[in-house]
Amino acid sequence: MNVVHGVTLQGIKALKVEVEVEITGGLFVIAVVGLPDASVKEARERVRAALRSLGVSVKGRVAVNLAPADSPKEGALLDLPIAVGIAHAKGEIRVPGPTLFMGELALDGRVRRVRGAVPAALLARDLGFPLFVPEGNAREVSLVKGVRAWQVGHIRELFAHLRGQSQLKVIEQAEEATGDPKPDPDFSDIKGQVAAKRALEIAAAGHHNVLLTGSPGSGKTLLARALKDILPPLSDEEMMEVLLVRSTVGLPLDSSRRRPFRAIHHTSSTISVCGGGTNLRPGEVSLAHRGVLFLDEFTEFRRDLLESLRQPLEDGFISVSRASGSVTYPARVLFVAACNPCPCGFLGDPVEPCRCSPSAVDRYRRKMSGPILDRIDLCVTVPRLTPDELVQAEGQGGESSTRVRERVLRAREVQWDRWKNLGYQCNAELPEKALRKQVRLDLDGRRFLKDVAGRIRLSGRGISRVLKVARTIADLAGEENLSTVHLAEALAFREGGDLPWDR
Amino acid sequence: MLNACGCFDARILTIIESRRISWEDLASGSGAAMDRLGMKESARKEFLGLLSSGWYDREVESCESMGVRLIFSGDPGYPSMLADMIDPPLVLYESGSGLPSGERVAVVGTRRCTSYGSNCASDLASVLVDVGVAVVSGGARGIDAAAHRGCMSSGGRTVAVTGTGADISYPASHSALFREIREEGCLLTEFPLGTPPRPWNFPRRNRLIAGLCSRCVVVEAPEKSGAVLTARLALEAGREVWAVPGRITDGVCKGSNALISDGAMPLVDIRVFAALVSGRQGALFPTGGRREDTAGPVLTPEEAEVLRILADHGEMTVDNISAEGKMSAAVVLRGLGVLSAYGLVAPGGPGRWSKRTQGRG
Repeated sequence: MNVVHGVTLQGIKALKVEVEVEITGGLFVIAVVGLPDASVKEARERVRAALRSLGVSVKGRVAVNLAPADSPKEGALLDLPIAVGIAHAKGEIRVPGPTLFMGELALDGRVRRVRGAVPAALLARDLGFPLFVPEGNAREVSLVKGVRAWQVGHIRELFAHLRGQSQLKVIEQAEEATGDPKPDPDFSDIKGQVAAKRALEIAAAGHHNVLLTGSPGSGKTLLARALKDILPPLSDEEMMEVLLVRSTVGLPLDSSRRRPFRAIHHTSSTISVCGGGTNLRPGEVSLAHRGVLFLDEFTEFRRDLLESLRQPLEDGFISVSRASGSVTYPARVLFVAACNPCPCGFLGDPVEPCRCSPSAVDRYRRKMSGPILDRIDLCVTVPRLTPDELVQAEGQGGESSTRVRERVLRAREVQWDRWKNLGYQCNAELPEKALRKQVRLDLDGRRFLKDVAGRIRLSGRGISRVLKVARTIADLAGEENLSTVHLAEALAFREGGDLPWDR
Repeated sequence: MLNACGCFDARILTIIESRRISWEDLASGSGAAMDRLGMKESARKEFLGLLSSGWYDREVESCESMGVRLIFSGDPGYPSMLADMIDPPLVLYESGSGLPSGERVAVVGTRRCTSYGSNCASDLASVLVDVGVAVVSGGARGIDAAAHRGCMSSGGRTVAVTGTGADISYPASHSALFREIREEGCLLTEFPLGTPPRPWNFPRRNRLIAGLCSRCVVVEAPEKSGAVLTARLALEAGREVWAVPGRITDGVCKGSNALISDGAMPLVDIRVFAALVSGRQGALFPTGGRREDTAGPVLTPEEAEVLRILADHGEMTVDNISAEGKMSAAVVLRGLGVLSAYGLVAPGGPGRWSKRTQGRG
């Protein structure tokens, strides 16, 4: 029975690859078969050199088969299993039972860090195989519970371990991340902007997507960054999902339970945002999974890019289909967009005059509408404070992120309990039909809503958004029944967020 | 009448009569008749071109199909106020429900207005409607649009005088507004169908606005603005000119403030103005009691506090309201939501709120 296994990545899943080696007489050649990509084919040279550095010289005709033969293999992480497979076939070492190996080899035999250690560790755990990973990946693996893993610094140490001459270092399971991460920036660091802060609190509590509009320098980016820290800390399961994606891309890991924050620039390509490319890597949307995805200068984004964000915003995952296959990445994000009120950014500013022509403002405004705007529940204007107002706001930072987060957490729990049976987690996820049925209004509230909706010309969709937001506001207040006060606050956002031009 | 487009508008009729040119000669394109009119070479060519292509009949036909009425100078439906002008238009294209009779006030201003200006314009328009006065404006963005909307939202009839053909919406984004005006008010122009918006059309349009009103109110206008021009034309036509005072530091108020210093009447109280226009003192006190606080909505202490702060300080951000009243943002926002539902406050600039000038429930 074949005992040497490697892994290859398929999306964020690791796929077991059996490494079979046959050595026959003849001229020296290593042939790797089983749909290897260029980096796997090049493994031949690295493996030969690394084995030579140990004094294991490879002679004859070496055939390496990577099974299953029909799925494409990628990445240098198959170097180590191929080397071990050859040494095993030559009888240099004995691998006691089915084992997973991963790692890239240097010519002198050192083992380099690879991406995808977390998916590999999960695979090893599920298969019940022991796992050998490069030293550089030890930390990632330590975060996965219930896996037997050793860290390898040099292939010599691995061979010594397999021969029973010495012991490799076992990867201890990392301690549970304790203590909440320090909020950066903290809510109390942001001067003023109480309305926007309140909006973010509501957004965090009900998972509502937000659009921040404001002049340059009003603090939109800062506010968006602060949002991640008032979200409830990642649960175990969520943390694993975040780790998986990060590890697949090869990004360094953060063991704290802080939610990810990813900002994308408007020049980003669709592939970098949604995932794809030759290896079908996850994109920024997936890196922001369970966290905040921030689009600054929202209006500058290309239309097709915004269109492609529709699926993740709707479904919480993104499917990337290419000729080389199709994978699905998780992408449940809290979407925060920011833009200026007009091309020059100073429309309605009390100090700086706006230099845009009305038609330019119109055109700008038109760019903003569209399918993505339909998924945004909360629109907030972030006013640029005048010097006077800044001085007045001095010293009143308000509450710390931690305190806000406590309220958010409580509101989330209320929602979990309420929607558990319907299969939703938070208010923003409610579809229209369920919303009308589940969110009930008293008579006063209904009359109030009808009045205002008629006056400010709310569409049906607009009304359901107001209802959702109002529901979250009530949850934050810890009240079971939706009443006029909650509606009033939701409507104040709706109206205040409306931009002042040409209503 | 053919020359509505051919050469020029206005006083040509009297010239024709005084020089005893026969209509038949003109209509047959006789050179002598045109000589006596003093037509230039280019105008003559164009005139003959229009004559030979039967433009007039086609124009009348398409006007009929679009529900646009043609009113010629001297017709019984021709507004007498225009007839008194120095250079009245030869023909008017009218769509909608005819010119409202009675007192008319022009509300004009810049296209790039502030929220203060547009609030003023729409409040002014709706109060004028309450006292039975029609509002005339130019159908442009900004103040004009606010005036039209304010008028129609109170159920009044508004007159929009446009600088394009009656079949063209300019700006295009106002096509819905124009449709509404056609239904509930009156859309006037002196330009033939299909005339595109040309910069030189608008001063001519302004002269009509000035002619059609008895009083002209400039809400917000920078120094070089069509609204200031309208005011000047109105003055020349013997109309009263009023201006809404603005902040002296604001560029958009330079022109309107300059009008005040040049002798225009400052409009400082909408209701007083409305009473003056309508000649009804009762308009000062529509409910017969005091102006405010009569049967107002019941407010919670927090809401009343928010309203008081806004009334005292003018436009404010939620930040400053909450700092001033020592209330949390949630409470302030809730208050603002309720107050705006009652129509007592409205969002001013981005993220800023102000008390409405008129608390109309």
